[in-house]
Amino acid sequence: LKYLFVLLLAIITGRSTAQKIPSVKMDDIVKIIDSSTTPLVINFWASWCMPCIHEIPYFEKQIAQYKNKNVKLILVSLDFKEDYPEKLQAFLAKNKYTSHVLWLSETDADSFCPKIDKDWEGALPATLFVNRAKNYRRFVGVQMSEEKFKAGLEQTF
Amino acid sequence: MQKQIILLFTLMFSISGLFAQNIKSIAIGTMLPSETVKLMDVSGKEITLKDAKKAKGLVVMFTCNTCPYVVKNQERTKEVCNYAKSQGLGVVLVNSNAGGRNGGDSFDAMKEYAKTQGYHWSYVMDNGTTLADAFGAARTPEVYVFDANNKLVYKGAIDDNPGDATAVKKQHLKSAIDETVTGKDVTVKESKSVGCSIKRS
Repeated sequence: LKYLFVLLLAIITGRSTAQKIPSVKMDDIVKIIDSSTTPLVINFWASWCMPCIHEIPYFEKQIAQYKNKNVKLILVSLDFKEDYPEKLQAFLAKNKYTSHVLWLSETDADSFCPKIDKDWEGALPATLFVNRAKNYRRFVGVQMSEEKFKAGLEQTF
Repeated sequence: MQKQIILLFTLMFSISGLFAQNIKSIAIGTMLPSETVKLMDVSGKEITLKDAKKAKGLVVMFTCNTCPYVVKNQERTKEVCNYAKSQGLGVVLVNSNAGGRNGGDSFDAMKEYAKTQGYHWSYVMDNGTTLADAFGAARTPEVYVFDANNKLVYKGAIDDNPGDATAVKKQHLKSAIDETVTGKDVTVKESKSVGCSIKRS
């Protein structure tokens, strides 16, 4: 019986970690931004991007420290289509990211970059801070240190 | 009034913050920057962009040894560099990953990479990030084409689908070369593409 319980538990937790990653277009992201009622941080990343996977853990740590601000972090993956969803899912399960992850199904950067910022030419990582309540929007097209990210959050509130 | 002053300062602060953090590439029409800066080539010789430029112009590509997008574009890179040479343009590949010099983007790794790729054009190590900063280059691969008069006529991607060679519809770089050598105005002057950030530190 004990064995069965462990097995069941493994299945349940296994399911929750292997969450389905929604495939989205940039217009869907724009809709999320335009309808947000809380401060929002949108990070564009990929599992192959070293500076991205360096900064995400401390982004999540900082976000957790501002729970009272209701700020949300959304990770938009630009992983290659051959890596979606299996490889991306495996990466997420291994690295235990706690944020909401979406996968961008578009490849035409000429079309999707300007929807986020006029200066974005496609380099990863890129981070967008949004707070609709005060009409605030700030795009950062480079990797951020933990200090800069924290300062970025505080400016957003 | 006080509120307005605070607002003004907040605005100034956020604008200066933007300038400090985002990298902006040079505008179309800009003259070839840093053309006399000496750069160490994998051949062991120092070169300058001025030396590398040929009668019909110059192609400068910011690239590296390590970025998955660069790897996905290895064949396309060689093809288009050969094409640029055949059309009378000079070719310089630049590695500005100053933050990767102790690993996969060391000068030795560059030499090895150039050898395995069979590069027969310059592959230089940036002086820190002097060249990347002068161009405002943010990612790899990222291409700049200068015409016979050293004027920037194209900047951006090799083509419209860096992630999938089989789905390419427009070969931006090749078209820019064709139009430049025939003295035409380049139709698509700039393009965006997903790439790896240049490791500046």
